[in-house]
This record gives sequence, structure tokens and C-alpha cells, in this order.
Amino acid sequence: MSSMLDRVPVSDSTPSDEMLLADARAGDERAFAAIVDRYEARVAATVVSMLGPGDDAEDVGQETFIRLYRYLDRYRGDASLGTYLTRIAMNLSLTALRKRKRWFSRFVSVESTPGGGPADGREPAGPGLEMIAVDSDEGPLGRLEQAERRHRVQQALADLNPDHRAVVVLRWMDGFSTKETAAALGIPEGTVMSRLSRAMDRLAVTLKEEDGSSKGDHDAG
Amino acid sequence: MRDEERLIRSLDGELSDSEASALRERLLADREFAARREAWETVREELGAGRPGFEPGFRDRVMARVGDLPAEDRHAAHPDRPGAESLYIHLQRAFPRLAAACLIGVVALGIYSLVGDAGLANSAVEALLGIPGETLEMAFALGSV
Repeated sequence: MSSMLDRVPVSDSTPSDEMLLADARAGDERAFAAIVDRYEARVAATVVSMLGPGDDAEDVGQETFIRLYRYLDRYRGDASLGTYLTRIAMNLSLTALRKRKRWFSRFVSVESTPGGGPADGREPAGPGLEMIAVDSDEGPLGRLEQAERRHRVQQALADLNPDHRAVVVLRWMDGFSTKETAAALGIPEGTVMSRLSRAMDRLAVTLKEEDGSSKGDHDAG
Repeated sequence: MRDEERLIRSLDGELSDSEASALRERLLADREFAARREAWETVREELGAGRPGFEPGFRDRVMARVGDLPAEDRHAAHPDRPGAESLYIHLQRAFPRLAAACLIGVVALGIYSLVGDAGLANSAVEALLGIPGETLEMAFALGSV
């Protein structure tokens, strides 16, 4: 006896990843565009959180999808498409951070940076609030508050060592399990736990400080 | 289980009933630990609320780049088309060059063997491998001594 699900055709408006991939492999660029639409937010969460908003994040985000396009035939479906893209995005982000650190250490003296520069594993903060895309149905005030919140989170993340930031982004923003995070970064699960707990303590302090300073700014204004 | 692991698992909602109950007791007994958990919970909420995005038009920018890809790369995405980037295609491309190089090598070795001082008795291969240029006839001669 066939079930109800067997009889109901899959809606044309929401094709599965597999269907989109098959069409994209056959050369249908609209299908690939639909994949980009579907996973843009997820890839953005990874790369912008890792690199900060700006040109680097945009480039790495685009490159993530270009890699997928170029190697569509290599994706076998062992992991979900979202997980696969997140891994590509994270690897490209870490590579971009290494390049940025090399560039920074070559052209900018550590003494000239108030945050201590790359010597402590951090890199210069990304552009300001205006570069963070806001996609919200709230009014102008709500959007501004949300943009401020994102900015605060970005600043706090930028304050972390990239290794710790990668763990936070994968675990709390991309929804990876500890095991998946360990596999994606090639580190033991215990290391994921220890990096995550240290990062959480640090983020708690940073966000509290930023919250205090922003309230101070508002009070002063 | 360490405190940190317990906190992380509690934020994930992965604690069993007994573990959750033990955590509640610990939170009641240790104010510092409770404050830490609260701080972590706030951080997680902030991270969730602060999910960033790209600027509008990202999809169009990606598709413009797809359109700008060289024909070879564009075809690479489609293995059923000529020029697909796969091991098979790479081997197909490499084979004619490899075959030509082998043919040239064989001819060169043959010529060397024929016109060399030792003639057929001392081929280039033997010279390369350091094998003495002894002929079968010489070996017989040595055996009969």
C-alpha cells in the first residue's frame, strides 16, 4: 500500500538540493542561482563572522560558491550541501585570515595598533557598521538596533584568536555538533570543548564591556 | 564530565534528566558557576541574534562571476560535456603527449644502440643500468676456458 507521501508530488516551488544539483550539473544556471539563494545566509554567517564584514568576506563568500560550481561533479552527497559549503567557506576564511595576518605583519608595525595587532592572534577589525547588511522587517529603529547588535557581536568575535573563533562560528552560528566541528577543523573533540569554553568566557567579558560602553555613549548623547 | 562540557551540553539541550538535575543543584550551590552559565547563555543568544549577511545582490554577483568563468571551468561543472575536469579527462589529455614522448624515446634508444661503438652488443639500456656489454658468445668462450 502506498502512503500519502508517495502519491503527493514534490512541490515544484521547493525543489530539493539533489534536484537543484542535478539540474546545475546539466548546465542549468538558474538551478545554481537557486542554490546560491538557499545557502547565501549560511555562508555569510560563516565568512562574515570569521573575517568581519567587508570585501574579504564578500570575496570569500563568492569564491565558496564558485568552488562548488567548478567542482559540482565532485560533490557526492556524503555530507549535506549546507555542511559541505560551510566547510569550504571555513577553509577559505582561515586561508584568508592567514594571508591577512602575513600582510599585516609585513606592512604594519605592531606598536602602531592599539589592539596589539596580529601578535596576539587577532587581526584588524573589519569595516564599520555601515558594511553590515541588514535584512529585517522591523522599522528603522529596530533595524538600527539589530545592526548595532551585529556590530557588537562582530567586534567581539574579531577579538578572539582565529582558532577559537572558528570553533564558536561552527558550533553556535552554523549549528555543527562538537563532533562535526572537530572533523571540519581536523582537531580532537576535547580541543573543540576547551577552545569553545575559553572563547565563551572571553566573549562574555567582551560583550559585557561593549554593552557598558555603548550604554555610556547613549547616556552621554 | 567537566564543568565546561556540562555547560555546553546544557546549552545544546543534550543533558539527560539526571545530568540536568545535577546541574540545577550545582547552579543553586555555586553562584559563580551560575553567573558563568548565565553569561554563556547571553553570549549564545547574542551570537544567534547577530547573524551577519552579505550586502543585497550577492546572488547576482556570484552568477556574474560564474558567467565570467573561462569555458574550460564552466564545462568542468558538467562532467557529461567535453572538457570536464575529472581524472578521466586529465588522463585523456596527457596520453597523446606521453605516447609521443615514449615513441621518441624508443626511436632514440634504437638509434643509439645501432650506431653506438658496441653496436647491438651494448644497448643504451645496458649502458644506463651499468650492465657489462658481454655477448652470449663471449660468455660461452669464458665458460670453456
